[in-house]
Amino acid sequence: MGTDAADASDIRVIREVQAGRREAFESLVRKYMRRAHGIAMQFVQNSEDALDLSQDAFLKSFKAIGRFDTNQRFFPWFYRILKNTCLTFLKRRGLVRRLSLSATPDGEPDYELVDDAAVQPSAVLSSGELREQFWQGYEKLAMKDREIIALRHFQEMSYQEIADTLEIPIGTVMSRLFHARRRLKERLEPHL
Amino acid sequence: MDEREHFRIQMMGFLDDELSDEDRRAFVERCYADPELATELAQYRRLHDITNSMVLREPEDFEYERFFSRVAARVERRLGFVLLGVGASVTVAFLLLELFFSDAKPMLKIGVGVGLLGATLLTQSVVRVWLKLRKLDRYQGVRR
Repeated sequence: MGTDAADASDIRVIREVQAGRREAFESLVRKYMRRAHGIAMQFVQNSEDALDLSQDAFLKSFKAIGRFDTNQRFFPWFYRILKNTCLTFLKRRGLVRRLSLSATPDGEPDYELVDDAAVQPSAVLSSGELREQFWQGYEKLAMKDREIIALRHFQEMSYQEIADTLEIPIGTVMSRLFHARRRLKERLEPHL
Repeated sequence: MDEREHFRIQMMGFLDDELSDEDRRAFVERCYADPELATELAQYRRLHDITNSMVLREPEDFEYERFFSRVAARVERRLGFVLLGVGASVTVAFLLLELFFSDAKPMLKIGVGVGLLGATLLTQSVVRVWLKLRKLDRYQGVRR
């Protein structure tokens, strides 16, 4: 199913939910729950927390769906809810710190995990030195860097989808990917 | 941004197969003319392949099923809570009206009235502080 067709089917479902058929929302949950878990993992790096937070994000989106503008796409809207849910969770637990007082050039603050102990390497399939090095390097990246790499590589999104999801131009997607990969490359230098 | 920086950023689009034909041609030509850029491309290609080969551990199917059931149950419960809240509000309002327009002792009416006034003051104070905090830095709770 193409992106447009998928979006049209999401919107059909949302209109049904808005009309009072709350069971219709379940199809959205089924459709996006794996992706939601994968995204939450990028922020919290713990599978159980990621499941709980995705659940909360679905609940929040259900509560707000009456106000959802059906001229928009569902996933980017849901993504923002999920991301905010994850950031709030990390902030409440004191697990993130803001990287600088000023926002980054694209206007959003960036965060990094306060303590590496918060990271659970068991959340990833790793075997072999290279994989371990990769995940160690990746987990030490700032959240924004991990986010863009995850959307591209683990969620397999196109630049257009990433741009829509993060509400940034495609040129910014490319430059954010470049900076994120450059920092990851520095950490993996001996292997490249 | 200088020209090389521009092509380094374009390199990402090249690796991800996201460049237009024209940009792709320009990037390839530049690589032929700039061996340093070509070396970087080889490194980033390796990084790209490594990243693509990494797999996140996914929860088992039964965990997703449990997940789904919980969301469905919470969605259902939410309707229950809304109905319960509306029902309770209507009942309390009705009882209060009944009390104030009945022959109940004036002291009882005064007591309930003063209690209600106190509850209203407290509620509006809590809501005002909550709204004020929301307007301030959303990330003030973050350790810097």
